[in-house]
Amino acid sequence: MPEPTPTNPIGTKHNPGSTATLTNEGTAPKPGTPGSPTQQPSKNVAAAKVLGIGSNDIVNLNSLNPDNWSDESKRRKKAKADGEERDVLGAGNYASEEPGYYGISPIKAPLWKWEIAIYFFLGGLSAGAYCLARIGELLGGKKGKYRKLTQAGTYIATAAALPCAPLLIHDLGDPKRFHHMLRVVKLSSPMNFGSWALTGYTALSVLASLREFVKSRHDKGGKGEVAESPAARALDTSVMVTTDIAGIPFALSLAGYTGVLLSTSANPLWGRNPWVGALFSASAVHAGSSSIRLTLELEGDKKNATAIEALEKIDTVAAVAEAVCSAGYLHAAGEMSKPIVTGKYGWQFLGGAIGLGLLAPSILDHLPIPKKAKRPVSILACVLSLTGGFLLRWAFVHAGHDAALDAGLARKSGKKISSL
Amino acid sequence: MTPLNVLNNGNSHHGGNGHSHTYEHNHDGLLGQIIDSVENAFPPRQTAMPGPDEPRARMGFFTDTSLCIGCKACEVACKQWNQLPSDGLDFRGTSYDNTHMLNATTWRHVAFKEKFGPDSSRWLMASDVCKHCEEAPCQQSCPTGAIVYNEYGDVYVQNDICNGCAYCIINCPFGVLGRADEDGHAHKCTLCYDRQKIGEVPACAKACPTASIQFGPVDELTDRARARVEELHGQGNTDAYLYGDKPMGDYSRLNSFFLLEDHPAEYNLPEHPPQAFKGMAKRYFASFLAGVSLLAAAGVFMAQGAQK
Repeated sequence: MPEPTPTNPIGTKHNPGSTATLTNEGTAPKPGTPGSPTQQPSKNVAAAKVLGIGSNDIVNLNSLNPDNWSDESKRRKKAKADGEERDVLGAGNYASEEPGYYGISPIKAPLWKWEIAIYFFLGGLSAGAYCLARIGELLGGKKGKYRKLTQAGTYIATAAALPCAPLLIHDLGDPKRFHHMLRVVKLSSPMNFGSWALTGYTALSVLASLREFVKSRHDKGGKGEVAESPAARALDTSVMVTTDIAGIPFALSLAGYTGVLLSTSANPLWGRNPWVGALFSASAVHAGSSSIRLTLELEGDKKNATAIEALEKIDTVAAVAEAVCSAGYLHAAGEMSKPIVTGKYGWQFLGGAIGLGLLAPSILDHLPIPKKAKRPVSILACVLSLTGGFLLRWAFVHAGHDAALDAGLARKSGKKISSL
Repeated sequence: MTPLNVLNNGNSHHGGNGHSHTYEHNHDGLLGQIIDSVENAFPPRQTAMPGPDEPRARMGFFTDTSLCIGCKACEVACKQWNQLPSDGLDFRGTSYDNTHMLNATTWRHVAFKEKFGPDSSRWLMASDVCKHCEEAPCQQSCPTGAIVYNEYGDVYVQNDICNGCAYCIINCPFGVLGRADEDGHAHKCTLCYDRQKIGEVPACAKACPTASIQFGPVDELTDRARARVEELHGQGNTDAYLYGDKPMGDYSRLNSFFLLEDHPAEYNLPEHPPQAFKGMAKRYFASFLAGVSLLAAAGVFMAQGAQK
């Protein structure tokens, strides 16, 4: 490659005396310098020649390198090589094909990434575990059969709820303004609704865990009875009533709004699909139940047998509900479900969330196996359920990117979404 | 006169003038001057009081793409007035379009569509912009209240409130909104709210050399646009039609509407813009129904176990 000179380095007809330089030409390193991109500028310069761009034009030469052009122009180049002359004239190929704008999608891709997928999973798991813990406490009776279930569920709920707000804040474009989410009460926006639900729920979940902690220090019989002063009992009861009456609606809101948030959008994959919310709610109960069961199984106390049996049934029913919602989702979405049933996300959703997360644990839980082998199989089923629940959120959030960027799908989605 | 002064004067007909307090000379001599200055040190605070709401016409754009020559003056004027950064010259080898789409820092986008058919060839050019929907899903989705309808009926993102949650971005069926890397906030066309406040037309409409971009009260523009379509039909251009002057399916009217000469998709406009918020109550109901019924089932299983 020749040394760049003050005069026009690529010899075009534009203003030969101009002192302006092309943006990455003036700083081109000498040939042979270690790591110098000798190949790239020469290609750029060649492209600039073809397009007649002179040294006085301030352009980003990388954009002139045909290797950096879009797939659309690569397709054109190939068409030219194949002798399809009309195709390279311009957009002529569109005259007979579907209308569109150079393969550019009319809508924007979501900006949400891993933080949101993890949040959806943790938030759902937390809310599910919380509700089951509260129900277990109410129905445990005097023998305290669900004492451990309540304890584990409450602690799991708080442990999973605490990272949620930091994850959401990290995802914001301007994290220091996270509190703006709560400057208005605008429940008609699912995100505002969710912000209030998460705030209220996190506070109540921490309150429930504090109560659980205090109780476990004073509970000698292991049945949840606190033989203390009447004042202590009254305080305990009032906190319990608060965490039940306010906590369960807040938890249900948290578990239930995430799917509605996704489905209230113009995204081809999610837009107005009534099954997404139900699917996420069912998955939340499933993940909550599996996480408590996993904890109880790992603890290995025989007293937990009744609780484990109940949780196993809940897991199965939730898995069936999820399967029904998934089928409903796919049916309603029709062609729009392409990004989540094919490719990488197809594996994650169909193979991971449905195969590993729903089918496998349901089969494992109902295998006629000897009692001794029951525990490891149950542990495996719980781990698979949780993995599936995570993959469900991961695939749903990430496949939305592919769906929005698929220009053909996005173009057709308007009619489909409007019909849902 | 600085722009700020112009703004203040623009508001002054509502009543109070922000600078009406006068310095009162009540004492003579040097001591008197000191006493005067102390007495005048803290003038009563006077802010311009907003007057009673006057009935205002909804303002909007009529973009007549049959007149667009693709000069990009609107893009440049928009960037100049709104102080938006450059997008660079990122040609994709398709046409003269280097911005490709509307975005956080591109509030006017000139689309170039080169159509070479077997019988005839044509070149479509259109200046795209935020549609300022009558029922804007971005406004409804905004959790912080940053997106509002202003007094001209247009959709406005308040930059000091937006925290960049990006929910509006997936609710806009036209792909208008984007989040800027510079500040992490969502941005879009303001319909030059600041210029409207001082009685100026938006920068793009001012710069447009062919009156392809027209600004005014929406009702007036609609009448003008319909007359224009009839005129074009009379000239034999029967392809011309209006996009967004009437509701499309369950999507509302657009305050910023277009005259097109081809399929909307050729300009990257959706044929059926979906209104994301329709049926949201139904979806909430389905979601909570699933949660409540599964918890009810859980209650039944636990009660059964407790009785054993």
